[in-house]
Amino acid sequence: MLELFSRIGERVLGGFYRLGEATLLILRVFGELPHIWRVHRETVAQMIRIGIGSMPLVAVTSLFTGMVLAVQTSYQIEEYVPEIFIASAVCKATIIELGPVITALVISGRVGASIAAELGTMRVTEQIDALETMAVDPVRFLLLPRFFSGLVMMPVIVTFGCLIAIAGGYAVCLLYLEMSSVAFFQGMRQFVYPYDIYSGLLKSFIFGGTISLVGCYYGYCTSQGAEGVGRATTQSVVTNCLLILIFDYFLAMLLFPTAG
Amino acid sequence: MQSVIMELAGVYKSLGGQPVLSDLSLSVPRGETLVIMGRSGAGKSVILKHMVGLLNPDRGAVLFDGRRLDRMRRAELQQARKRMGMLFQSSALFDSMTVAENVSLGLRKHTRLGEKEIAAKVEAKLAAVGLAGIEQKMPAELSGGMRKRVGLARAIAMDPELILYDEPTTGLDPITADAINNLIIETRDKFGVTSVVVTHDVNTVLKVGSTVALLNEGKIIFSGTPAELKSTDNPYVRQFLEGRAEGPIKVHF
Ligand SMILES: Nc1ncnc2c1ncn2[C@@H]1O[C@H](COP(=O)(O)OP(=O)(O)O)[C@@H](O)[C@H]1O
Ligand SMILES: [Mg+2]
Repeated sequence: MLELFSRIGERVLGGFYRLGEATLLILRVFGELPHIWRVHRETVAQMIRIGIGSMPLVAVTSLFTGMVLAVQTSYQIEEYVPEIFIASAVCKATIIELGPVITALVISGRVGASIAAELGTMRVTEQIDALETMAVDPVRFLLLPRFFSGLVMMPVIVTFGCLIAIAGGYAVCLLYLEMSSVAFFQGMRQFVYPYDIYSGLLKSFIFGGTISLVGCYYGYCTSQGAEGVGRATTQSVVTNCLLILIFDYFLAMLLFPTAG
Repeated sequence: MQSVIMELAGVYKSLGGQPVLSDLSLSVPRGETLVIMGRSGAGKSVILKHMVGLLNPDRGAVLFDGRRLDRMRRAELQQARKRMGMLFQSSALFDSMTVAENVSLGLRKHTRLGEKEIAAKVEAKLAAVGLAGIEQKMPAELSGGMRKRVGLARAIAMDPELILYDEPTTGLDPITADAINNLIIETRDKFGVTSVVVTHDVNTVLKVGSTVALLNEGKIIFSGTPAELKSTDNPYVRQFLEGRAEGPIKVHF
């Protein structure tokens, strides 16, 4: 019994320790932001890697998300609602919710995991120690470019994904639901506000920062060899998925308060 | 400028709940080559990590050029580290960078040299380690011995005053190992640097050391010149040099 309590105690203390460790690291990354121009080379390389590299996967996931959205919206509203609302629903849901969230989940599996694996490998093979001994701050040289790239590339990727998803929805409306092109764009213009676009972009900005920071944290704090790298990679994906869904809820409460 | 460039005074360090260093003291006079020997797992790498501030002692002091390295603030520690070079046991080359980028990173980050000057320096350092012309190769394309030598070129790129070598010859064939030993001697003679060499290779000990220290159970238990090392009847030294499992040095599994 006593052992059980001490085990639980250890777990809780360990959790607090890691939370503190993560907070300190994140603060250090934020503190380095003014020095971003000193690592512009590395940052551009990361932006290309994160941005261009993710486009094909995001294109496919977004295309199918948009298509399924059109099919299911039309099924849900059946005959009760004019068909142009299908277009409104597809575009609006994509821009404020599904575009940012699905893209973020996909990117956390692709980019977040690869940041964690790369930094984790650098940690266990002493490359991060080597940077330290060369008086190169790994937080500035490795973490900052990755964080910054995640932050600025995510809105770009999400914008791209939303366009593809809407195109997918459009194709389904036209070819399968036999809607006219005019009706689709009318529905889109009538019910999608600039505010929706701004909030979608804000969401993706926050998700992008979260994904890269979580990857950086698990990678940077890896220990115990190859097994540790595997664990860091998995944990970064799990943590990212949870955080994205949790943040998404709170952002929805903040950005789209309902009168009530 | 102090005549002793690096000193560990009464250092205690536990890692993973196990004491690794207990009351370890040693000093490295400027211009000399200190060789630290000891079984694997004795704590040799841990000593070097204290010298560059990757680890801090639980108790005791680390002095670099007369100042407390373990008490330095980040900026000050960075300044101290620019005066040191370290060759890691595993080479620790940056595997996403070419050989040239590995060797030039310090120059790029800490000097205002132009591309041409950097390229010339890289070429010179690679030539010094006998690897001219491999600038554009990636670390994964190199053999273990070549990686060690690139690691060495990287360590000496900033012309440091103090070079720390972690097992520079371990895992290499005897010929490459001897070439590395010569390289350590040449680096010392050409650039007048101070070196700390960690090894359990007896040839390296006798060839490059001006002082030899034997580490056991977290302490230095013998210290002397290579000649004294060979002639001593200290049972620990004899056991180590003769490579016997039986003797005063306990082998733990
Ligand atoms: N980061 C660490 N965490 C826990 N234990 C460590 C760590 N680094 C080294 N040790 C332990 O310290 C001891 C000395 O290690 P090391 O200095 O690497 O030995 P060597 O003399 O072979 O270089 C070993 O028992 C090792 O397990
Ligand atoms: Mg070692």
